[in-house]
This record gives sequence, C-alpha cells and structure tokens, in this order.
Amino acid sequence: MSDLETRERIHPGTAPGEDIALEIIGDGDFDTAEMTLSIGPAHPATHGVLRIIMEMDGERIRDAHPVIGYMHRGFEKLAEHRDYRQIKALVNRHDWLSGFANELGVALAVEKMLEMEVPERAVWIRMLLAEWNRILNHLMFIGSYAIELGAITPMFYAFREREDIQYLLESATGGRLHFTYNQVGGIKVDLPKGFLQQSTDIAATIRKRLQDYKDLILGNEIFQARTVGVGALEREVALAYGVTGPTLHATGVAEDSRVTEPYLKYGEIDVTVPVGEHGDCYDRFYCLVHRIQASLDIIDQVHDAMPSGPVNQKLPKVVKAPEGWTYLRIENPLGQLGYYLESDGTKTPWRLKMRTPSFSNVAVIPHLLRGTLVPDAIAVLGSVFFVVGDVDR
Amino acid sequence: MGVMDQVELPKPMKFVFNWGRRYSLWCFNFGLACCAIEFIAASTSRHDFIRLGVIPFAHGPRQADLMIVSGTLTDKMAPAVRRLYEEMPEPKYVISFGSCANCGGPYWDSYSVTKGVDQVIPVDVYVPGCPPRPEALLDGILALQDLIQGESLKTRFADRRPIVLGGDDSPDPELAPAEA
Amino acid sequence: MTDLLPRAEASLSVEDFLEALAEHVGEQALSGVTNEYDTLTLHVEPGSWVEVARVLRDESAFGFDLFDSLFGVDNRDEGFRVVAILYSTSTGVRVLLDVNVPGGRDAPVLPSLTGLYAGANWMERETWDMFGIEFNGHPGLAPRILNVENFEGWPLRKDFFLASRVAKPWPGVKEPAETDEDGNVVERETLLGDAPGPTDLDKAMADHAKAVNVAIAEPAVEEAAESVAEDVAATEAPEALVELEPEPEPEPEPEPEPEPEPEPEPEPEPEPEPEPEPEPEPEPEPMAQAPAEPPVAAMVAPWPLGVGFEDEAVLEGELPDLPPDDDPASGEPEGRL
Repeated sequence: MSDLETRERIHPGTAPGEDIALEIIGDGDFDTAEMTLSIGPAHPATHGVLRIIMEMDGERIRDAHPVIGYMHRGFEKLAEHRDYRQIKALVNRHDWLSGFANELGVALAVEKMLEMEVPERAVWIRMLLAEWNRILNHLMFIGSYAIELGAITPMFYAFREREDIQYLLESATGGRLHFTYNQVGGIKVDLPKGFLQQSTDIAATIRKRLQDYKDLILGNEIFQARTVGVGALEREVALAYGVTGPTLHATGVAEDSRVTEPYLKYGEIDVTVPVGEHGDCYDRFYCLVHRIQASLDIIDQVHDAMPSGPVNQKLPKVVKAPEGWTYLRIENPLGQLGYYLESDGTKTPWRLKMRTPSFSNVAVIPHLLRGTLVPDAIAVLGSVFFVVGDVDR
Repeated sequence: MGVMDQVELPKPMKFVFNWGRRYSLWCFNFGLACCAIEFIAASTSRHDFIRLGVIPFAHGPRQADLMIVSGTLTDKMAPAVRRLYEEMPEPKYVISFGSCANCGGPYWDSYSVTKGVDQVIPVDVYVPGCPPRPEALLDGILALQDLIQGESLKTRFADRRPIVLGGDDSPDPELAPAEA
Repeated sequence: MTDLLPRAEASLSVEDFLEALAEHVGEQALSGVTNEYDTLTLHVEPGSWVEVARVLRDESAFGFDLFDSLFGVDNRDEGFRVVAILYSTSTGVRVLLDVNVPGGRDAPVLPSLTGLYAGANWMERETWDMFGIEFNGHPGLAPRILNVENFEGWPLRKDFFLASRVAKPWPGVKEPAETDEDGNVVERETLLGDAPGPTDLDKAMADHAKAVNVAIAEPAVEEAAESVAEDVAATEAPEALVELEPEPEPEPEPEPEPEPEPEPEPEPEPEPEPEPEPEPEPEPEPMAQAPAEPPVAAMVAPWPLGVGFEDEAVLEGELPDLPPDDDPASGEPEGRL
C-alpha cells in the first residue's frame, strides 16, 4: 500500500479525539485487533504538539505516520519581511531550548556575506555562551526523557541546574530563554563584572553533579532494560535521512560541525565528540550526557583563553547584505543547524531557509517505530531529540 | 453544579466554597511552545506554583479546572484547543500565558498563527511577556485566585472580566454589565 | 570516546571535482558553477537532476551520503529554483545543487529524489506545501505537511501577501529606510517580492539624520568629543528639531552650549573607552555605505525616540541618568550559589 493510499484511509474520521477505527483480523490462530491510534497533538509524552498516527496490531506498531505542522508559524516567510537586525529576534524562537545557537547561526551567515571581521573577545564570548546554551538544552532533555520513562526526580535535578545557568545567562544577556545577544559583527554588550568567576563556579558545580546523573540514570538497571537494544538506527539510514547530532553520533558517525567545519574559534581548542556504537536509545542518551561533559571542558578552555577588547563594531544604520547566497551550518545542541541566506542587495533577506536538525530527526521516526511495542515507542520518541518548533518552524 | 449555580449563595457559604475552589486548582498544562518551558520552570522547585495550591499534570482535560495555554496557537491546532476546552467541566478558568497566546505575539503577521487564544476560548487572566518570567505566572495565579474569591457562581458568566497583568485596572466600558 | 572521522586523503579540489563529475555525467549536465562566500553551487540542468545526484551519491570519488536539505527559492518572473544540499561525511565537502524548475510559475514540475535519499520525502512535501512545486515520482505529496490541510495558496511565493501587513502596517517606529552617501532616501522601483518603498516618515528621518550629522561635524572636534558623556539628546536634538517642526524651543539653545565646556573639565575622563574605539573600527570593514558619520555619531541619538508617540518627557530629552562607571552600586552581582 503506497503512502498516499494509507493516508487517505487514515485521515477521514481520525481527527484528534474522534473515534478509533477498529478492525478484527486474524493472524494465524490468534485474533488480534488492528487499530489506528492517534497519539494526538496534546499529549504528555510527546515533546510538544506532535501527532503520530499509529497503525497497531495489538501492542505492536505496524506503521507510524507523524503529522507535523501544529507549530508552524511561518518563520521563513516572516524572515523575508524583517531586516537583518530583526530576524535575530525572530529566529531564536524556533528551537526554543537553544536560542543562542539559532541567532548565532544567522549572525554568522550575515557576517559571512558582509565579509566582516568580528572582534576577538566577541568570538570567545559567543563560544562561551553557546556552550552554556548547549548544556542548558541537554539538561532539559535529560529531565524530560527520564520523566517519560517514569523517573520523575531527575526532572527536578535538571531544572535546578538549569535555573543556575539561566541566572548566569540572564546576568549577561537579560533573557532566560530567548537571549537576542548576538549582533551582526559581535555581541550586544560586554559581560558584567564577575561573570567569568561565577561561570567557573557553576561549571565546577555541574561537573560534580554530572556524576550523579551518570550513576542514577545511566547506571540504573531499569533504565538500561528499557533503552538498551531499543530503537536501533542504522548508520546508512540515518545519513540518508539527514539525521545529525547525538542521534547520529550514537550510530558511530562523529559528524560535528565544531570539529569538521570549525567556526568561531573551535579549531583552536580541543573539542571532544562522544560517539556510540549501536545507535539505540541508550547510546543516544549516553552521547547526550557526555556532550555535557565535553561542553564543560570547552568552557574551561574558553575561560583560560578569554582576551580583552571591544565586543562589537559600529554598523551602518541599515545593514544590507550584498547580492548572492551562502549556506552556513553550525552545531546546534540538537544537531546541525543550517542557514541558507539569499540576498538581493536590500535590507531584508530574499530567502532565509532554516535547515533544522529536528525536522530530519523526526522524519526518521516512522522507520524507528515500525515493529516496536507501544512502551518502547515512548522510549524511542523521547530519545530522538527534537523540539517541535524546530520541526515546524 | 446542582443547585449551587441556580441560587445566589449566602455569604458565608459562598466564602467557604470559593475559598476551597481557589486553593485547589488542578491545572491542565497545555504547553505549546517556548512558554511551556517557563511554565515547567514555574512548576519545579525554584519557583514552585504547587505551594499556591495549583497542581500540575492533570490526567486530562476532564479532570482539570484550570487551563494554562502557553505558547503560540496555530490555525492547525485551534480546533484541538477548542475541543479540549469544551471537555473541561465547569467551573473552569483559562490563563493565557505569554505574548503569543495573548495576541499572536511576534508572529502577528504570520499566515498560520491564530492571533491570540481568546479567538477560540474565553480567557480569564492574560500574562504578558515573551516569555514571561515564572514569577509572572505566580502573579497571574494569584490574580486568578482573587478573581475566584470574589466570584458568584450564579452570575459568573455575566460578570466575566478578564484581568490583564500590568494593564489598566479600570473596567472596560464595552464590557460593563447592563444595569439591571 | 573521541572518535574523529578519518578524512579521505584524496579530498578533491574544486577543479578536479568538476572534472571528475563531468566525466560521469557529461558536459551538458551542468549549466554553471558558483563558488562564492565559501558555498560551492552546481547549477544543474533539469533533465540531469536525478542523474547528478545519483552520481554524487554512488561514486566513491564523491561519496555524498548525508542528505542535508532540499528547498525552493522564488526566482521572480523566471519561476522557481530548487536547491538541494548534499554533504559527504568522508571528505567533508558540501555541495549545493541548484536547478531552475521547468514550468514557470504556473505549473512547476521536477523529478523527485526520494528514490535516492529517503530524507527527500519530507523535504519535497514541504517544498510543495510552500511553493506548489510538483515532484514526479514522490510517493505522496498531499496532504499538506506544515499548513492546515485546507489552506489556500502557496505561502512562500512572493505574490502571497501577509494579510496582517496589508491590513495594517506596523504601528510602531518604522525601520530606517535605505539612504545613499549623501543621506537621501533611495527610491527603488519595487519588483515582485520587494519590501514596500520609502514612506514620508522615512524621508523625514533621513532629513533629520542629515541635519544632525551636519550639526556635529561642524563644531570643533573637542567639543563634540567632550559632550560624549552628557545627556546628548538635551544638547543636540532640540537644535535640529527646530529645523523640522514649527514649534521651536529657542530657550534651551543658548543654555546647553556653554554647559558642555565647563562640565567635562572637572571630569577629565568622561568615558575614555569610546574615544579610541571608533577610530580603529571604520578601517577594517568595507561595509555598506552610510552617510559619512563622524566617530561621535554613535553617541548622538539619531532620532528622538518620542516622535510618533505622545510622550512629552522623551521629546524633551529627559532621559534617566545612568550611574557612572566607578559607582560601587554597579559592581559585581552577588553570588547566588
């Protein structure tokens, strides 16, 4: 049955909350019920408004069709109506857990087209805040993945850490979630006094507490029973779908933009990329936790190397990118985030395409869910790290 | 609600019922977008709205009496919100959390965003911000609790006045009740 | 577990890459190559779209295994372009494939890449949803992937106007318009998809900016430099406002002028930092032209913030004073841990 026919069969009558279609078919001598279940857009176990229509044979999933678009806000169209300073405030909201990385990508793309030199100190500050943002994002996923599998306490521990980091970032940028700190050509304003000292203290605290996460979650035998061997993703399939980030690293491919195409000053420091072997849920989570450790190491190196100097530069009243196009890819916490910026010489972009990591990660979900049981489906969904705003833009 | 909304209750009874209702709100966290992260932050240990009596994680809309809509409402999601609101039993309250839920927010010109959740469901408290701080949500819950305390179950639909945090407190002349 | 990806030693240069590609697909497959801003783009003929992608994926010399993305771009009257981005994890090379979609704006059709890369499935569905480009061979483009299923129109096309912007333009302070070197507003002929042209407010802003720049370029440089630390709106804005509005305030004029001279003397170091900053900065970057701004222009409020609003206090320039840099109150934030 082709995909189109399947969809036509499913869609009439299965809007969220409507009756489920029930058919009894026999498989051998065992009467099982084939059921189409819609895990609707408002559901506690999906990360936001993602709807998955599952065709199930008893408890086993035969096919899954994610329906996305419930958070489609039209970013790409809106970006064409905002000038280069305004799109930074717009784009830091599609992946709302990593706002700094999003606006960093757009600022880098515009600077690439303008061939602008960014002051040294601004580059290092950007790296510092980008790594803190990465830790913030990964802590959220640690908390939410554990709570989906039934462990409620790690959520509170993760948010305790997040509050500390958010306080730190708020002291510099003024925002807890959407920073709008990057500017074309640097950053908005210099770090406050005492920031680096506080950053060092918090990094030491989190490093100590990270051991707790490894012991309590990764070492927990219930967690291992639920995630080891579940939802294994093959390397070739992942690459064909364009999966990136910890989901890809778990399959054994160390494709990380900080290492393979260094931007900012990542080429001058040591960046560790944790990789997994089997590509199952446990490996994806393992990569996530160890990425936090790698980010803490980067933060320590940035602390040591932070130079002094100006942090931004004077811009003309209207920033106009020259005609042409460019594509720039950076390492978002969830994967590789690419911005295709095409300009026709005016003050608004002609086309800003955001290649978001979550879109490709969610595209691989049908492949992963085929043949699994429903409880495993929840484990798989949580481990394919995505943010719905990133999927739908 | 039986007879309680058919008659105007005597003051001591009304006080006790409203006091019980305002401090035992069970909230259906309808988190859509970025504001949901601040909502979750408000429910965890640092800000903790559970101490105000609001319990998160209702098992579904049918067991909830408060719906906190946090995040952007898109046209594709609007029918689901309407349906979930209708599934909640009376008396129910809605807090619109965040600029997108209030009025469309930064996506005011988008082709797929519903400009405000009050286009599909009635809202009792508007909490502005993008995203609002968790303390703003606590403030909104306190405002809602004051609203519940002063409420009369018989005339609550006619007397509905949404509260905008940080807004002008004077009553909107268009919404003034007809002189009875 | 630091497993860095081994890069193939034979990572080809751009010329070798193109030669090798021409050997496999022939000379007619590509209509051009662009390599600007560190982005290698191959302009592919529509007939060879699938073939070029297949060669890039399968031949070991190339090995483009990661399917990055596929999307459309509006090309004004010529129709649409589709861009596909491929990446090779073994050589670290990224290539953009760009094709002009045949069929113009009325019936754009292109062969699908879903047979080669599974990731193209959702990408092509999204491109169809946004632009209306049909993909031959795709298992099922409908229903719409991102928009509501009964949505009418193709949103990312340039002739799809945002209803809210048409109904009521943004009521706040408008963004600055484009100005040329002399400070005059540039009038452009608006083609399909351009932002709307300059309005009267844009022209008034440009005139004001010119007046302000003339006013501060002429007085002696030391006076201009020393007024940096002061509340500049009080000194500069009313002077220039006189030229524009028929309600001048001549009284503040003589007062602020003697003020900047005695005041900076007891404070010999108003703000040492901004002064050396502007001088090295304009040198390195060859940026888009702005009206020639002397270094102090950054300190001058180019437009009194209150215009457009009824806030008299702001119009008069009564902005709050910030504490000076050596104020102990503005020191370290207290530790929270």
